Amino acid sequence: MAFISIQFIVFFLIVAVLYYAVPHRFRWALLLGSGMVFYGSSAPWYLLLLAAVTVIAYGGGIVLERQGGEKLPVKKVVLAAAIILLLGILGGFKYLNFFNSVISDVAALAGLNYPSRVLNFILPIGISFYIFQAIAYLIEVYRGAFHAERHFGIFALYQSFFPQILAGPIPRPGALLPQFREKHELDFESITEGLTRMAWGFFKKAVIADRAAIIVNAVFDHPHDYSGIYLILASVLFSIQIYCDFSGYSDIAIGAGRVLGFRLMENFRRPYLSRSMTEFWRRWHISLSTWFRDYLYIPLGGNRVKPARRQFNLFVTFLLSGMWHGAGWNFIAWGALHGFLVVAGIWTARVRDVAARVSGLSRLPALHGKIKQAITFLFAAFAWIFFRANSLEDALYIAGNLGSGVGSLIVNLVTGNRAAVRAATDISRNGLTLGFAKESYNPEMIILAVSLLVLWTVDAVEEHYGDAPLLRTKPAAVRLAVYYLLICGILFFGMFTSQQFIYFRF
Amino acid sequence: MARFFLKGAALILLIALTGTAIIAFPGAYLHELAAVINKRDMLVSRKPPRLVFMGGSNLLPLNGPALERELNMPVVNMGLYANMPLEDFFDDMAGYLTSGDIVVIVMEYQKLFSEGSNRLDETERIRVEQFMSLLSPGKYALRCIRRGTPFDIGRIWVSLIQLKLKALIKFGTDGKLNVALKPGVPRYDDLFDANGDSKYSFLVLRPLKGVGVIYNSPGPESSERLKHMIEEGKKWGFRVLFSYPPIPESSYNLNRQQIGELERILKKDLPSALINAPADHCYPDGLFADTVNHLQAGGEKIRSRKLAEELKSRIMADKRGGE
Repeated sequence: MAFISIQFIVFFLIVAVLYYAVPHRFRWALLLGSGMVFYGSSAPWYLLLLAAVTVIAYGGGIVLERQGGEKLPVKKVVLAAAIILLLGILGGFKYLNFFNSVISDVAALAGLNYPSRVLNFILPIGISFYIFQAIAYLIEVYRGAFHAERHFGIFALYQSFFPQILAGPIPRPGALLPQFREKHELDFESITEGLTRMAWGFFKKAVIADRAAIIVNAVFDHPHDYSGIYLILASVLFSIQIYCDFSGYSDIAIGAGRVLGFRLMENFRRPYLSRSMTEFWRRWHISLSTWFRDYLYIPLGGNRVKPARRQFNLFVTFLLSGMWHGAGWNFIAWGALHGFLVVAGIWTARVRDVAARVSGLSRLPALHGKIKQAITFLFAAFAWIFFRANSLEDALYIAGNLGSGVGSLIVNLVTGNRAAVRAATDISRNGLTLGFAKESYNPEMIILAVSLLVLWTVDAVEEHYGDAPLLRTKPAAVRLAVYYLLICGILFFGMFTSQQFIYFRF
Repeated sequence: MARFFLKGAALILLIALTGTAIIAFPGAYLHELAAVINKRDMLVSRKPPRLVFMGGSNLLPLNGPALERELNMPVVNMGLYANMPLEDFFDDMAGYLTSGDIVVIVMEYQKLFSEGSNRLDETERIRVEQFMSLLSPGKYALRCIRRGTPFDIGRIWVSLIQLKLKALIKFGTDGKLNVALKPGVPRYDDLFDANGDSKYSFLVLRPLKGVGVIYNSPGPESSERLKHMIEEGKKWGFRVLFSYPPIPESSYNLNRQQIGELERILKKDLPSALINAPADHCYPDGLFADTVNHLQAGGEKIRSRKLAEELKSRIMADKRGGE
């Protein structure tokens, strides 16, 4: 069931009404059933996999707790076995074909015959998310930070809570599990807050992300047909698309949770306003980056080790984060690039400080901050090329040709050579202009530009005022006007295509 | 709780009113199929008795002025798009037709061979229905409810609003607001002549789209839909005739058996409505433009001339019969 569909709206309304109508003691069962319907509607057999993961994590948690508070070798073995089992499931579905092809390539290089067969199975939606959620639970129980959940139904609900099962936010057990036992009273302020958050998510997805996707797809699917200026445009637009797509999904998930009285983990904090790549990762996909920090980077030694080792740990963490996203060299390259950029940020910190002092930028903190934001955005946008490209070859081609034709275009613009500019910017392909029908290209671009301005304004206001619910303090007429404009914006300018959320693939 | 629901209802009402106002406000829809509105207006503006052509895009390049000269009656070309359900379109237009009018149906072969409008995929069905609903909104709203898809009313409503707003943005920013405020497709007069014929020829592309396709055997529905139109015509007092569409020789030869079968069925079921035989409108592949339905300008000249002769002899024969 897609979030942006009439089916989901009807489903959600029914669940929300029933949730507040049934007594508290039955609510977990209602939410569990809803999660099953929601997740099973994609493909019923997904439920078997979810059940297997749930049973492993549930049983593993209880066995771990029975070992007592000490981190005994047996306890370690139990934890390792459960994690290996869970990662085995993930690996089987997600990485088997990739590793198989890698072995085949290596064998071919060595002159050996390795008959690589592609196994045709579908990657179940959300598998990477709920397996990481299960691992987080096991580690927390192992560390003694959280008691193993004894109620199987509540634990199954933790694994299958429908607002976040498909693409997170990946919750921590301590933050989510106790909420299933709390009695949530009907609170219209929370409901309004949740619905507004959902509407904002719909706006980001339907109005911005899916519109940008048309241009991005047109260019990234045929990069050789486009000159540098369009490769840059598509790369920048993909940065916006993925932000609006994923943070839009997170807004819908968090908002849906809020309507039901739950507080889910924040997943994004205006990442493109970051002033360094390290800060970017504190603001982007927070539930995953903190997962890697808590369960990989810190166990590897975190900040307590020597600088060289710390930088190595950082790099490895990002590399594995890239692999988590997808089984492909381009995802590995994307992770490695981010690892490098974060480590390079550490290496160049002093040089940059000196440069800021010498240039006088340090005396202009606002301007300095904006320059840092712009550079961080450009680095992130460049790295996204590897994430979006259909193959590593395509990514390298795009990265290597970002400047192609840009110089001559500038010269022609400056010299007023209109014919040359027109020839360079004539990008019609099969009657389409950057993926849009010629007639609708201008209005689509205008709608995109205006909606980006709205997004930027909202992000800037939120950045200025923090995460406090600003709208709640405004007069009723202002709130009503905002809701009205938001819903009209979604309905009248949304692209109601079959474009799924990008992170559903992971 | 009451206040919350009251505010919610007020908000929904306000949004519904805004959308309805946008639809009701005269203006263009940024889509070529919005030409149904212009074509309907053209039909209304021409004095009866008229010769009205209905069918898909095979009719777009028709030579209306030549037919007018030959037959000495106003020609109205309502042809637009094969996937538009012709029976519905016909029913919507029937109210504008009067005694003495002659309607000539020229349906593409794909539609004659039981590939009716009900076989369209969902996106295409909504795309087509949104423009059809501009002609009779109530009928389509009822249809959505009857077939158990009431949400389609909302989808169609939203889609039409979007197309209208896009036209407004496009021409408003170009400083041509008058284009956006004219009902139908933007710049209809640049696209179609006074008869409703397209001013542009189809692009010539090879291979022809649809060439090599083998049609299904014709079923009873092939003639049922045409029979319905003839009956409706009788009810409203106008005549309905049927012409076979143009077909490339290669497709004709490939489907000779199925086309022969279709001809037998139609001859049996609608003997007085047929004005020609399939072979009469079979042309060399080289005369076609981009698909098996679209003739190039040269081919269309021949087809229109043949149609004029066929209609002329039919009208003369009918007159003689009447006397």
